[in-house]
Amino acid sequence: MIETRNLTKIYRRGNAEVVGLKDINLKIEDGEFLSVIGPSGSGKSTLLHLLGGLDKPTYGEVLIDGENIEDLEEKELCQLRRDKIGFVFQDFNLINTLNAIENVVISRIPTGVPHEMIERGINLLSYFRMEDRLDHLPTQISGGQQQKVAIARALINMPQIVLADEPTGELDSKSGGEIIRLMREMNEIEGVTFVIVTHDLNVSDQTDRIIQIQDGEIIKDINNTPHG
Amino acid sequence: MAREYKLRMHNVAYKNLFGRKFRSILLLFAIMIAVALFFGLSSLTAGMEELMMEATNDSGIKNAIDVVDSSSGMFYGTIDRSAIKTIESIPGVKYVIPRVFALVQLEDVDLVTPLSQIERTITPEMDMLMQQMIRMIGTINIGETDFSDLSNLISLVGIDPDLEYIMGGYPSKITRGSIFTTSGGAILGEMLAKNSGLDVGDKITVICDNKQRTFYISGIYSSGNPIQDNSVVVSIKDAQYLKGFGNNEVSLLRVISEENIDNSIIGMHIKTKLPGKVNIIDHSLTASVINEQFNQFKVYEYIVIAIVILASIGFILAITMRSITERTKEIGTLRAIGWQKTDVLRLIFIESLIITIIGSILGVILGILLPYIFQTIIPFFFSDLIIPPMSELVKITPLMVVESILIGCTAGVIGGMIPSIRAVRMSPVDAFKY
Repeated sequence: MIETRNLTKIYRRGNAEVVGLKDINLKIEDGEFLSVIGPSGSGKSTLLHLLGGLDKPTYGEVLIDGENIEDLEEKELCQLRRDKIGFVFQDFNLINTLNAIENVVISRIPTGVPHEMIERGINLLSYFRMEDRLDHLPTQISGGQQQKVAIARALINMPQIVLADEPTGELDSKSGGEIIRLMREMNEIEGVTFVIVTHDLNVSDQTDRIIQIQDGEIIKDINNTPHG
Repeated sequence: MAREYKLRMHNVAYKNLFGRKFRSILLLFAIMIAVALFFGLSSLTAGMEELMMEATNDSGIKNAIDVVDSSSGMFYGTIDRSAIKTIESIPGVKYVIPRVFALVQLEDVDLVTPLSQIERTITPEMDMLMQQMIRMIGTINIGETDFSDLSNLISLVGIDPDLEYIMGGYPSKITRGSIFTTSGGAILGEMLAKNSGLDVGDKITVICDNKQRTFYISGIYSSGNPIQDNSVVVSIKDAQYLKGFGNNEVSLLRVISEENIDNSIIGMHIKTKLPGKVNIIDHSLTASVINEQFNQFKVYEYIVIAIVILASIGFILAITMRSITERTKEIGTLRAIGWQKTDVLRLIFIESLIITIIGSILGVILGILLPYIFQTIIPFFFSDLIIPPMSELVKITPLMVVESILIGCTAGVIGGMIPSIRAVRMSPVDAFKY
């Protein structure tokens, strides 16, 4: 479970202070499939970065399974990001010099990639119907396929939670729909929690819970019955 | 069964380098040029140093004094051999060795020597100036002869082989054949042999003024000194005949002093004992002047090397900075998915090391070839320029190779890593903004 307590992020712009997030109190249970929506600059991505330990809050805390991630050492935080959290980015952020399967297992390369990890990577890509694209470089595959590689990379370590920042933002509606469908399937098959930041209501409509943020504050947190 | 994938850190490093070919080639090129320049300069300096050391060490030159006739110098003056006993009686004198010097021509031999090359570059003004200089020093009486007449002249040295052996002179420097044992034999300097096409077993006729004598070539020597290696060495008797000297007349007496004896004191004694007759040439002074000038040259060399290294680091930095936008985002991603800062630095270090090792090795190869490439190319642009053989000028040592590779690697790794260190220190969120 992920929990935030009075999570606040304030940015400094010269002498001025800009509130990115203000007193966010949130509980996300294991296995949830939820979306965070809101206009540009509302604080959606900031929330995602704080949940994933990519940024530090000004006040408040993020607890993953009851443990405040701010108490973690740099090395422990890296291990947490590698083992418990998966990230999916709007523009995929794949390493262009590595092929699909190498990108999928990249998080394990510093410590050595176990054989079963490679098998899992191949299985994930095969499940995403990319078994014939294992050796292709990111530049040799479509945007939708690149995002599938990024999702497989996020899932490779069997994380507890996947944080996706506008995962369909760079894709056409068909590819975007396929990506959300795959995420939903992985949520159901592997029980992974998905937190999807989006401004696309068609995407949020596919999730079970919708959190709406405006000016750094949660203004709506509702359960949703997915359509389509 | 999953197929075999190479998924170790160095494999990723290779792929990153191959995947960014343009950047990698530029880096490789920068390192290669820097190492080649460093290596080329070092080998040239070491070669020149060795050449100078050999020249100054020749025949124990550091503790040697040459005694020549005070009015006409060593090429045209004479010294009486009886002076040997006088000089040997001076305390601190180890040996006194007579030599005869002459400027001679070789019959039917067309020399491709630096002297004949010089002739092509001599302007009438230079010719006049050189004649005046030669008259001033009074060593060569060429009258109104055009300087171009000197172009086929080489120096002939008459020696006593047994005495020369003692002080490590010409006979101990023979590389092919052997020293002559009787009159009528000659040994040739390696450069002269090369320029004339003559070798052991051939015959040469030496002309000096209106005398001439034919010699068989018994050996080839190499002293490392281009002037000495462009000479012909015969017995002292043959040289005396060619010069028209009597049995007791020689051109020069080389005086070798004991270790730790001040040459100038011995020189003073000689001048006192042979008043008004002789000039003293103190080689220890020559050696120290040469060393001093060479040390100054080395300072310039170090400055040039430092500039080369700094420029290469700058060039490498410029190349790596160009790709830093892409790299920063990539580093941010790696950090986000669990790589530690040290992991990222390790990857960049391996990448830098691979490229700098390859660049440095190629640089060393280019550095070895560089002097020869210049030697081949320069005549196309400056046809009159005299370039000594590079094999004589360049010296390569294993230490130089190791030094060059280490310097290349250091410059490459520093230049390759500095821009990335900033990116690694950034938070992943800041890195994504690039």
